[in-house]
Formats: sequence, C-alpha cells, structure tokens
Amino acid sequence: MIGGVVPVSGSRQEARISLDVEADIVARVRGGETAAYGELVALHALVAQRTAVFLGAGADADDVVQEAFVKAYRSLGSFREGAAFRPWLLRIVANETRNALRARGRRARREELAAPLDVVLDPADAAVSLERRTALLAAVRALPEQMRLVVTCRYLLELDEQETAVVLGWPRGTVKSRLHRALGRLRDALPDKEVQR
Amino acid sequence: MSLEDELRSVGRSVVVPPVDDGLTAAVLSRVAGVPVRKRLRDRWRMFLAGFLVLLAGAALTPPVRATVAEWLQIGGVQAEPVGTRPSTAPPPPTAAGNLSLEAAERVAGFTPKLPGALGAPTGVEASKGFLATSWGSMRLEQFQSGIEPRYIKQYYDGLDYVPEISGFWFRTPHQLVLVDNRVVRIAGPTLVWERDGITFRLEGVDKARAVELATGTS
Repeated sequence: MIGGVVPVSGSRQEARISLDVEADIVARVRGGETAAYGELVALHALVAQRTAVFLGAGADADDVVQEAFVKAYRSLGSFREGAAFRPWLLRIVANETRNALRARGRRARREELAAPLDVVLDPADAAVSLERRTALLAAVRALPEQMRLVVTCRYLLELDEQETAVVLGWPRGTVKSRLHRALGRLRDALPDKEVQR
Repeated sequence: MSLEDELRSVGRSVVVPPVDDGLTAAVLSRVAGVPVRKRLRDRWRMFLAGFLVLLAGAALTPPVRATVAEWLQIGGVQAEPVGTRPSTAPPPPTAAGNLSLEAAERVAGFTPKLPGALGAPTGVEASKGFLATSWGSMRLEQFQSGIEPRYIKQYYDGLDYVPEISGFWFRTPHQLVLVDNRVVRIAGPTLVWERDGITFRLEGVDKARAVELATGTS
C-alpha cells in the first residue's frame, strides 16, 4: 500500500508518507499483523539510513538502522496514536547512532572511525558549487554539538521544526533559538556568499 | 539563494550508501512472534525482546531463535532465570559508613554519579571499584563493570526492559549471588542499568520512581 507516497523533490528519493497511511499500518501491526511492519520499514529505511550516516554511524549505519527498527517495533506499544512515525523513529535512530559511536570509542583505535558529518558530497550536483558546499559542510562540522545537531536535522536532513524537536528531544522553542544562533555562527564563519546563477 | 537553501542543497548532495537489501527481511525475522499488543502483559516476551537487542548490540549475532534465553548480562550484573524464587525480601542494607563523597571517590577510584533529585546521601560506603550510597531505605550501588560479572541475580520471573535507560527492572525478590556462588542476600525489586562502564543497582523504591531517579542520575 504505497498510494499515499509523494516524492518531496526530484533530487531526493525520499518520500513523505501521509499520516493516514501510516496510522493504518501501525494499527494493523498493533492488531497482530507483524508483516505489515515491513511496509513501515520499507517506507522509512532511506531516511533512517541518511540520519544514521549524517550523525556519524559510518560503516555501522546498516546495523544501527536495523537495530533502530527492531527497537521501534518493540516500543510500538508506547507510540502515540495519530503521531507521525518518522520523527519518532528517527529519535531512536539518533540514540542508536550515539550508542554505536560510544561502543566504537571503546573498540580498538586502529579501526578507522567515522564522525558526525563524515560524508561524501556528490561533485556533480549543480545547484551550489562543490567548493561552496565543502565550505558549508566544514562550517557545520565545526559548530558546537547542539548547534551541529539542530542544523543537521533541520536543514541537511530537511526535517521540519516539530520533527527536529521530537528527534532531538528538545522543546520547540529551544530548537528555534539554537537554530537561530547556529545560522548566525555559520554566517560569521563562512566567506561571503558567492554569486549564484 | 539563502543560507538555509544552501544547507539543504548540501544535504541533498551527500552520497549515502544504499540501504541494505536484506533490511526488511532481517527486521521482520527478528520481530516475528513478538506481538506488539500483548507486549505489556506478556513479560516473558518483553524480556526476550530486550534480550535480543542486547545480544545483537553486543555481538551482532544472527537472528536468535525464540527459545533462547538462558542468561543476560547488564554491565557487571548477570541475570539467570531459575525455577523458583523467594517470596519476600528484607529491606536492602543501609550504607552505614559516613565517608564523605570525596573520600569514597578516592577509595572507589571513580567519580560516583548520584540522582540529582535526592541531595546528599545519608550513608556512603566504598571499596575499590565499588561504591554504595543510601537515602533512608533506598540503596544505590555502583561499580566498575569489568569483563566478569560481579553479581549474579537469580530471578524467577518479572524482568522488564526499561528503554529509557536501556536497563532492566527486576520486579520480584530474587537471590543476589557473588560470582563465587556464595549467596549474598535476598534482594527486593531492583533497577539495574549501565552507563559509561559503571553498573548501577537501585533498590528500595518502586519502578516508576526508580526509573525517574535513574534518568536523573549524573
């Protein structure tokens, strides 16, 4: 049942799922139809993967995502009916990523470690020059943790303000104020904006 | 183009490795047979679910058969299901020492974390790698986890996974055994969790309060 799926933008594969479709699937899973959970997994796998990678899961992203989906299933009893599944899931993904980072810290140092926003940019993407994108990414990485997190969720992952609040577990006002300060810092840190076409 | 739009464009141009093909199948095989609706009533299944996550997190094992549940390790505490259980437990021993927290920290060799809501403990005891604090009849133990468990908790039933702190609530009285198999004492309902290599046991309060205190421990 993918009737309610509408692509957000051409460049992203990701889809925004209507709440009705989601609520229907959740109800079926709660009703004992375990296999219906597979639909939720399929619908949200990509955004879960992106979130894990952006937050630093690196090579552990696959494991983090699988773990998060299993955990989410187990906690589905506490999922508020009618709420959006995506931010609720992504909060679990964020927690799992943090656990993975912590566990990795305990492992041998010889392993190559990924860090938050240790990501590769597609050089061919034309909207903003690669040079400018690289500078932006470096500036975001240099932000203090909370500012980095809020910019990552709100802009890099393109969650809305409410979703960002749920994922980070902060009040909405805090999201707003930290975002505001983060953008101010980025403006100060970045060279003057290049002229865009 | 605004800074916000530029950032969105950065996000979109990040190359993300494709989702694992087997993800849906793997998740479904791991959650199969664990109905959501009965979860709260069916404690055995709850325990099993928590156990699966713990196992997978520790060793990335393949999906575990639904019958496996011999033991479970939470930091320095190992939980073993047994056939019977004691019906009652005396209140936990009170930490009688009057060490200052600074002195206890020096003896234990690590900095204790305490529930922010409780203020200064009424009693403090410490030995190397171990620290116990009391507030009246409530007892909080913390110790360095190490490789070998320090305690074995022999529980009959009533083990709940507590997602807020990734810990477990032992709902019923149970035998608390040192690893050399000497019976230490009968413990009452206890919350056990681990953080940053330190295992915590909180005993002498109800579950809701215990979880609340554990969440506020820093």
